Amino acid sequence: MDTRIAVFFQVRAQALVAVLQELVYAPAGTFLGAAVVAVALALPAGLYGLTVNVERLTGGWNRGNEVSIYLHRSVTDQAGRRLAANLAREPEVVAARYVSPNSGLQELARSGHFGNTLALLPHNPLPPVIVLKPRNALSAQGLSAFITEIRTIPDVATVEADLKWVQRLQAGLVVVRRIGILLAIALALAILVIIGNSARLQILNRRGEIELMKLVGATDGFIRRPFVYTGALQGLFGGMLGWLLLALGESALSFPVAHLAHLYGNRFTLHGPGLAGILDLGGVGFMLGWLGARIAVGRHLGDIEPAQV
Amino acid sequence: MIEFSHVSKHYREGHEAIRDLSFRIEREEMVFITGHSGAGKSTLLKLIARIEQPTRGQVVVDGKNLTRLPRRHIPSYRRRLGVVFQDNKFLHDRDVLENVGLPLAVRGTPASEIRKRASAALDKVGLLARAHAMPITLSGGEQQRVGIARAIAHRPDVLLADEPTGNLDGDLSDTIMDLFREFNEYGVTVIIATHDRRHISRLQKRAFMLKDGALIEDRPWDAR
Repeated sequence: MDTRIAVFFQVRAQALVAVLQELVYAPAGTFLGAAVVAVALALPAGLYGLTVNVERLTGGWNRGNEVSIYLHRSVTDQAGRRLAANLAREPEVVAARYVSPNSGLQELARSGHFGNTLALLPHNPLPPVIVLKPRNALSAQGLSAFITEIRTIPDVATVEADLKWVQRLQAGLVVVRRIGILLAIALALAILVIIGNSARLQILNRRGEIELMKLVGATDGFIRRPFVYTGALQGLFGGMLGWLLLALGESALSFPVAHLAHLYGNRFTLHGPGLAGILDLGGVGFMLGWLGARIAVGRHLGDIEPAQV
Repeated sequence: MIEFSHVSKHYREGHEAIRDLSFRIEREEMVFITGHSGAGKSTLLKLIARIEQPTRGQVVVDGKNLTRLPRRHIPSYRRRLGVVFQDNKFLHDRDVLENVGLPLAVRGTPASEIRKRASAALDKVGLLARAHAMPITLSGGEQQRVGIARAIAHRPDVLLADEPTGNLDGDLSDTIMDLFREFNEYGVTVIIATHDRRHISRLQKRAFMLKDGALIEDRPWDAR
């Protein structure tokens, strides 16, 4: 049994070493094959990274927003303060501050935008207001749901929060992400076809060798192994190269993006694929390469039988 | 034991390569198959190697009906055979030793054992000194001997050879035929297709005479 296990690993290790040698001996071909996979993987991955970064950016802006809850004029200061205290205890809320009509008028006067106009008013036109600061982790959708809930409170006249643009942007991001998924599927199929076709050509080039191997008793698994390993390694190298492209893109854009954000008073920094991304892209490339080669070899190997004795 | 029962082989283009062939070859026997070009010698060997399937009849080797052999069992069946071509095919990116060790490599023999047995086989055909040469650098006779070494390296039960001396001069072809006789004396069943009847009379073995795919003579040497 030990011998069989040893043989199991030995034949695979031998095939892997032989394939690695072939790839190293033909660096141009190896690089071109990997480059095609790299571009095909980097495009959807880059699009995904873009949506993640835009989401982070809009999340940051969203966090800066406050929600103004206008109460009915009939609501007393005591009832207003009680409602603010109740809202402050909600999990979605960080702080809730009650602003009475008088305090509001004083704040307006202090702002200096209206000059003496406020003094001419026969009575204070401002309603009681609760200024609410939502929790950072709350998404635009979550905040919208929470606001809808607040609107049902009898003392609340109206609620104001400028979420529309964030919601539109996030809806746009959903579309972009869907496009990214469709692009990823299309490019994954392209990788399968490209690597499959490469395996098919290799099989045709080595037809005589395959016939000979079949004649001396090689199993389909034995013959298939180098082709499948080649496809998987091409996919793996392609994935790693794709990660490198994204990392280079990130390093080229990170400073200008951070500078732009700084000019808007934001501390946003670009998030790249990170070191874990090399595993993700490499793994996806490996799987696609393996699958493409496996399908192609499975289809074409059966057609080759030894002809000469 | 190899048994043909009313075996016929028609090709799609209408050519009838084998016609109603029936015979039996015992274990450890050495048999020549002779006849003119196109008589069906190669097709007969292909049927034994399970490269071709008969159109009619059945081929049974050691109780296994090759016509019903599942595809997945063909590799293990072929590992029991050694096959020598008239024009041997080699892996031209590998040296002679690796080519000879190929039948061992496909069955997962450890590398050290492959080297040992492939070297022994090369020694047997007198080419150990060329173990690390590339096949393309060998002469026709050397290539033929390397092909034989490859066919015997894994100690097959049955050795099939199609015109193994077709490209060789007299002395070398005798040497190679003597090698086949030697393998047969070790217990290997040897079946050789040749149009050169001189070898049959020299080695004095059983011979089948084929004509237009039909067996017209099957006599042991003693009966001549």
